[in-house]
Amino acid sequence: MTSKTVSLFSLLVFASTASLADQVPMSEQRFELKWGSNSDSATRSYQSFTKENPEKHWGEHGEVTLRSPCEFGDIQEFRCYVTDWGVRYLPPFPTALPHRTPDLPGNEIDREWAPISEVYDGPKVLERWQQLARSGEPFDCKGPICHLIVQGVSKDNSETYYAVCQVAKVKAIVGAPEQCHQIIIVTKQTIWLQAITGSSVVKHKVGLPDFTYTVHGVPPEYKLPSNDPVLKELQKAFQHTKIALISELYEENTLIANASYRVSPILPGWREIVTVRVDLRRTSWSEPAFLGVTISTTLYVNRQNTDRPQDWQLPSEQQETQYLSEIRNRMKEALEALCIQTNWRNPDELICKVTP
Amino acid sequence: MEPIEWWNVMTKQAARIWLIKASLSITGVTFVFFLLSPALGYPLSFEQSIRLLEIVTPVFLGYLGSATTFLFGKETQMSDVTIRGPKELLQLLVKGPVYVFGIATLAAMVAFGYSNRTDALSGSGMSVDLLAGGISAALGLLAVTTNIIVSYLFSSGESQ
Repeated sequence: MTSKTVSLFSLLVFASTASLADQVPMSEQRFELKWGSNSDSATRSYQSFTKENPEKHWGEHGEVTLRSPCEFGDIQEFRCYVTDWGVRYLPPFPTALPHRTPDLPGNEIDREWAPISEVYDGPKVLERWQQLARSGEPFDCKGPICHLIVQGVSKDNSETYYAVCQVAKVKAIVGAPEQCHQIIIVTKQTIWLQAITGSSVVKHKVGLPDFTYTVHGVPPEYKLPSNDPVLKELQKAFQHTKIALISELYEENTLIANASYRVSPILPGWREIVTVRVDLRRTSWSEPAFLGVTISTTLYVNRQNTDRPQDWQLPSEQQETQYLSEIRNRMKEALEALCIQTNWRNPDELICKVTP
Repeated sequence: MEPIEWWNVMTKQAARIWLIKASLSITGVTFVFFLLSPALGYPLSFEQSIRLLEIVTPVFLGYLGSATTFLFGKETQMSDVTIRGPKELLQLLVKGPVYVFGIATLAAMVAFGYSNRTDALSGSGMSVDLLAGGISAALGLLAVTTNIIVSYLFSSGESQ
């Protein structure tokens, strides 16, 4: 073997071991974004937004006052219309990551795609967000829940998308990004930023959890299992070989379970990145009280054993159903283990008799 | 010059028959493999499998199409083909590229399956794009040899 061949062989061995040992940094990953926008939808949405005359539109619902300067957090340099049921900013619009949005009147923040020129300090905001994306480091952590700006998958590579997502960081393992909000669209012609256009009062807010179990006690005391044993049983359920997730308590009533880049024990032949979140809540407004167990799952799958971002995709409807069914069964078993006598009133409602 | 052994010499008719048999076999095996493998646990989804099938089969279907046209073509439209170089080259150039294509494709499929097996180190698998690239490279060899041979052999009306 010549020295040239030896060195080429060593280089190949080194290259292959190096690629195996290194994990792809989050900054180089690309994720498929659920309900992602593109420049076309952003343009349409912004055009219809700017057509609306806020004075006329809001005037029908009460008094409208133009306020200048109008505040957004600590900055007092905006102009806005104020009504009894919210606020509507005028360009240049303020921006903020969803979890950093300051308090505004009402309970619903109105966001809209706006061209960078229509955004307050647009270039600086863009630079700051892209800097966070380039770092690939989770930030603004609260317990195991952090935030991360990720780059989304673009179908034709002519546009670049960024989204801020929640990630669970359990024992240094960063889980699948979830609850992503798209914040930047970069095209050759323009850059769109997700701006805050105002806020309003919304009476009913709807969440999108995968499923919720309710646990009711039995008369006459209607005693319910306390949170600690419930969370312990759920943690035990996550360790079951059929789902085998690493879990950690987050705050008093929340449990987070993760798995990254592993062969799926539920979807044969597929690999997965998954985060399952369980939230417990006790009703204070209902008599007798009951316990609600809400399970939310974020799942990405890959048919191959690759770490290329474009190979990781959202599961098909059937895969999601199969996955949730397995999680549902394990959670059901865990809840049943808390009771000495059980009766499922319907698939999601358990009547549970706990030890006196 | 060394004497030519009889088993090294291939007649034009034998070359045509061999190419038809090879094209049929490869088309058949490819169809069976790519249609069955996703269902049998090979790490490809049906969508990816059909994509690979679409890369491989047109080449061999093209050879079979040329052969069919040759069989029913009008003799007046066809011209005889002459082999100018040493006769043993025909066999080498007809069979060699097809064998190399077969071995290269087999190697790529084994590497793909092995690197994507369940207990492989996470992230070390071969991607479908790389597999498609490997198969396309192997098909490239056919493009510069077998395609040309087919265009000559199946444009002639001569029979031996």
